[in-house]
Amino acid sequence: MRNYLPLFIRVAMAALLLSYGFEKLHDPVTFLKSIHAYDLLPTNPPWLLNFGPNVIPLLEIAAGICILTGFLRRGAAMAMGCFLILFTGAILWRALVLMDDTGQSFHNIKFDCGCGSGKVVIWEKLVFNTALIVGCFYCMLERGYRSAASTSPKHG
Amino acid sequence: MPSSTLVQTAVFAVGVLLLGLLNSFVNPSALDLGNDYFPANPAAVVVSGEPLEHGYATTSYADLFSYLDLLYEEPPFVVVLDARSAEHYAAGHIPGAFLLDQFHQDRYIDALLPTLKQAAMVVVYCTGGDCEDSIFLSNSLVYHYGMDKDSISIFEGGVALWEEQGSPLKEGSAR
Repeated sequence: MRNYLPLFIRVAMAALLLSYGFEKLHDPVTFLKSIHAYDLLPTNPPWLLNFGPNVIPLLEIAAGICILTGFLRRGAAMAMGCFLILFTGAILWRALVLMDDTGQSFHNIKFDCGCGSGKVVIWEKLVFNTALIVGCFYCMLERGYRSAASTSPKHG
Repeated sequence: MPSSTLVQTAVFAVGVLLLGLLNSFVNPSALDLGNDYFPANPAAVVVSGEPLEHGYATTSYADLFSYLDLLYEEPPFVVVLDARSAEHYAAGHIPGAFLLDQFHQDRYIDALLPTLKQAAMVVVYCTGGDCEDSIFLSNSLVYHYGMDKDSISIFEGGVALWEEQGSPLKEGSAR
């Protein structure tokens, strides 16, 4: 049973990344508005902001496929993990700015973080993203399903 | 950390960047890298966390409702523009409003610009609430297409207020 845990984690991570990626790819405008709301990237020159919604969904889809198939798995998981750390930092930053502007307490802060799930409660999103980051680094460090399976006792 | 992991990461990152560039230039629904989707109003004062100061005149619900009978006049006196997407427009728009999706202006602007320049007043709306598409569309009309700033007015309540007042929305792609 323990040997199936890496496979389960990889499938779950891949499913999440693929669903987020395809949702953003389908609606780049909503994602662009979400990124713009962070007020972290300048709108001039425009490509600095506009390239994000064109490339980030593909990053998620490619990472999902690589983590699932094992092709460039460690590299994809590391790139995705690093990206998630940056993005989660940006979410935290925006939450703190909103707290400062609106006087709301941290656990009440809610906005569309551009994560592909609409308006969310931010502290829950931060916990979820932390789990995703751990998942990415687990996928980077684990020996792989095939090698894990090859160490299982042979039957018959 | 094994160097092969770093090499894999670099290969993956370069591959994704190339895919992103390919997507930008080949996929028709991808964003145009050179398009400024959030044109600024040089006269507006931007305060972080505050609603965008737009500096345009505003139209009330009662005024907009009273314009409904004028929207089909030729030449037009009042033109109403819906700054939302085609999907939102088809789901329900203010009767008589033209679709001018702020994020796909190039699809509509050439056909609409002569009509807009004839009109004495152009009312722009979007969803309402914290939606800013009507402001960015107005900035675009003034600073990219040379329309008179004083002819533009924003219906800040948007579709949300229109519905809240019990007024009917028109479904489909026709005005």
